[in-house]
Amino acid sequence: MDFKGIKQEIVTEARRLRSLNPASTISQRPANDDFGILAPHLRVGRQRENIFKLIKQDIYKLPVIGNFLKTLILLAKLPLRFEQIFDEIRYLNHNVNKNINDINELRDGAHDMQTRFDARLDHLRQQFEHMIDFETKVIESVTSLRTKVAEQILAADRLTTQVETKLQSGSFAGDRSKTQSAPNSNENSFSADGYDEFYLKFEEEFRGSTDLISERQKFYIPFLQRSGIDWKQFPVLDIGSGRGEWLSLLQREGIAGKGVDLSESLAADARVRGVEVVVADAFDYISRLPAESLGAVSVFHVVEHLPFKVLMRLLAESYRVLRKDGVLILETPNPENILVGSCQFYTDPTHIKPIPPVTLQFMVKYQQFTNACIYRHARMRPPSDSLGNKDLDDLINRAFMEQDYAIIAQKGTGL
Amino acid sequence: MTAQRNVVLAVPSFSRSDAVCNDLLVQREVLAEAGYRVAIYAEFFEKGQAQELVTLGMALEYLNRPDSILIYHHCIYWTKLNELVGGAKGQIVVKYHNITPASFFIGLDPVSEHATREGRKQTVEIAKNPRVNFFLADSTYNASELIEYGVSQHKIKVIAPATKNVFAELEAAAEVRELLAPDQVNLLFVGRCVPNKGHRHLIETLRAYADLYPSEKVKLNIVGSLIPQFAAYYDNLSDLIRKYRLATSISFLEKLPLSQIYAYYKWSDAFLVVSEHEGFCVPVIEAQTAGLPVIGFAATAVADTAGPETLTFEKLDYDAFAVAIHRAKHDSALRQQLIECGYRNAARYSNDIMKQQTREFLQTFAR
Repeated sequence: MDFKGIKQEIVTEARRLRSLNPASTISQRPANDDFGILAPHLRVGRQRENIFKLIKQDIYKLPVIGNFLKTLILLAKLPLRFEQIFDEIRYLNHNVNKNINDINELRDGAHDMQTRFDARLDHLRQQFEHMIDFETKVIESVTSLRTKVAEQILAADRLTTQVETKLQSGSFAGDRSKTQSAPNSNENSFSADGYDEFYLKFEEEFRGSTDLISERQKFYIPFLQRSGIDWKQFPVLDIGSGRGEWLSLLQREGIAGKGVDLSESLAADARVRGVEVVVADAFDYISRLPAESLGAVSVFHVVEHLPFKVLMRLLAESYRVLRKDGVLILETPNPENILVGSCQFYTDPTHIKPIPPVTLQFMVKYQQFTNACIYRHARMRPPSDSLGNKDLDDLINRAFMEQDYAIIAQKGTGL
Repeated sequence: MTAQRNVVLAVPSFSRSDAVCNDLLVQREVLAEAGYRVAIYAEFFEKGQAQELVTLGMALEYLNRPDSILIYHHCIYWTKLNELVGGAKGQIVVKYHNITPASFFIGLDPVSEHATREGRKQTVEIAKNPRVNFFLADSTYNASELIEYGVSQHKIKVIAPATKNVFAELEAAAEVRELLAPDQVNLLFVGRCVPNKGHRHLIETLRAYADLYPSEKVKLNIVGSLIPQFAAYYDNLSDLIRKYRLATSISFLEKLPLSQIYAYYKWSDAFLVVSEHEGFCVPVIEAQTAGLPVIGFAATAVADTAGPETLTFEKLDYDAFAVAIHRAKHDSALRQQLIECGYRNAARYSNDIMKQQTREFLQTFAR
């Protein structure tokens, strides 16, 4: 609503009405108004007061009577004065009480602070005692752990000595076996004299044809492809590359790779297939590689040649040199197959002992690899019809099931 | 543990029925809620109010800390002010409620004349006192006075005085309805009968109404205490009433119970305000809250308080006031509009808003 306009209208209307009634209408109003005076009661009080003042002033001037009246009036006013004094006292009393309350509040506050301070001190004391207890327990635990570790080192040393003794006392002691073509710890380093030839021929006799092996190894290609790694930048290292079937397959699939093998003969055989193989101790070689420089580490039929400690070191080194998402492939005979576990595994005189799939899987996981999965393959015979006896069926299956298995794992996230 | 900050609210005279004290009490509430340790000091007070207050000594003790705050409500000359300001170690805030110019009291009451003259001088001194950190003003009119006295605009915040809605839980006294005949125009003014309230203009407006609308009956009820010192003023008013033959058209009702005041607000036709000097004018807000259209003279702070959407005029034009009254009574659409605008305006001054403004001021000022 436009109030400015309305006000203007009102002013105009006022002017118009006034022009119609220029003279005041007072004379037309009833004249018998008797308004009197405003607030007469207040005036009466004041007049009375004034008169009283005047009388007082005059009477007080009278000798004796004046003094007497003055005294009388003062006495008459005493109750009023007392009331005023009592009011003042009440007021002062109130303030005194207020001060006392403030002091009490301060005292209570101080007491409260003291209590809280004491409680905090107690709490700190308890915490301190608790820390002392904890420290004592930690020292005890560390001492106990030290003792246990020392015992375990001793036990491990004893085991290593036993394994070494066993290896050295075997008919092929000092053989240029797969143990040597595989990564080698210093203590397991053997001389390279004379056994390369043996192992080359042995492989040709028992490992199977390169075509067959290559066909079987095609199974692993998709795992590498799925990882999406740039292989030129992060190639594959095949440890114990042997005759180079795998490297050759990688080459055909456009995946850059390199092998390392201690055996000169096997490396020469592999090179014939146009692949790159370095003759070196695999441990020396891998330990010199920069961290996170490889896309995959493959280890075919090598781990069964290695003592436990050596195998663990190989896994740890592999983890170090693999880039994030890098792939680890370990293939070994499957001892779940009773023919492999009881006989065929020992065909190779340099095998130490079969490793059950779950054991190897656990070792891989222990070295921080993720998605460590078991893949069984190279079945001896397709499953036969059921004989109607579950146990018998299971036993027969155990004889003809997959001869090899692989652990495929990754550094970091899943494949 | 953080110590509570002390605040002293100081006012020359403490009376629970006074608008300044209402403002001060609401301030105390806000401060106490905010965790301050609040004391009120007043030199003069009504009987029975002592327990609300502290002595001057205690007030000075409260102020004897650098983090203390003195909030002085300036509304009249006060000799104790210098003592308080001198003893205050912390910040000083002055809430300016305005002081009526002494000219209104010349020839009527020498005490009021002296108190107001000195009071206004003191306002100038306060405005120039570098110890005062901040000013609060009831209205932009009050703020403009401070600026005129040399206070920098950024040192002033306008916070209207907090008003208790005393009518919120009251029943309007039914007997008043019978006194307000529907066939007459019932006007209301509420305020102490003091010279600055423009009683003469009220009478002149009545006369104008009677002149312009001779066939209509009009009645003005004035609620507010009569003060003995102003007898001469009242005599002048009486003479004027007699002269204009308006005795039956005007009633001085003096002090009334709240339920009756509320009834007058509720059932009158218009609130007529023609004051010549107001620092805020709480009755305008009370009228708007009760749904009563406000009409009159937009002098000093009245224009701010009543808001723009009302029939207040910048010139003292009795005929215009009379026509505005007539329209507010008979033009129901305009009347409804005035009532709604009044509600809207009054809502700006709700207690909650005043409290919130005080809280905001404290947050920024008392950091």
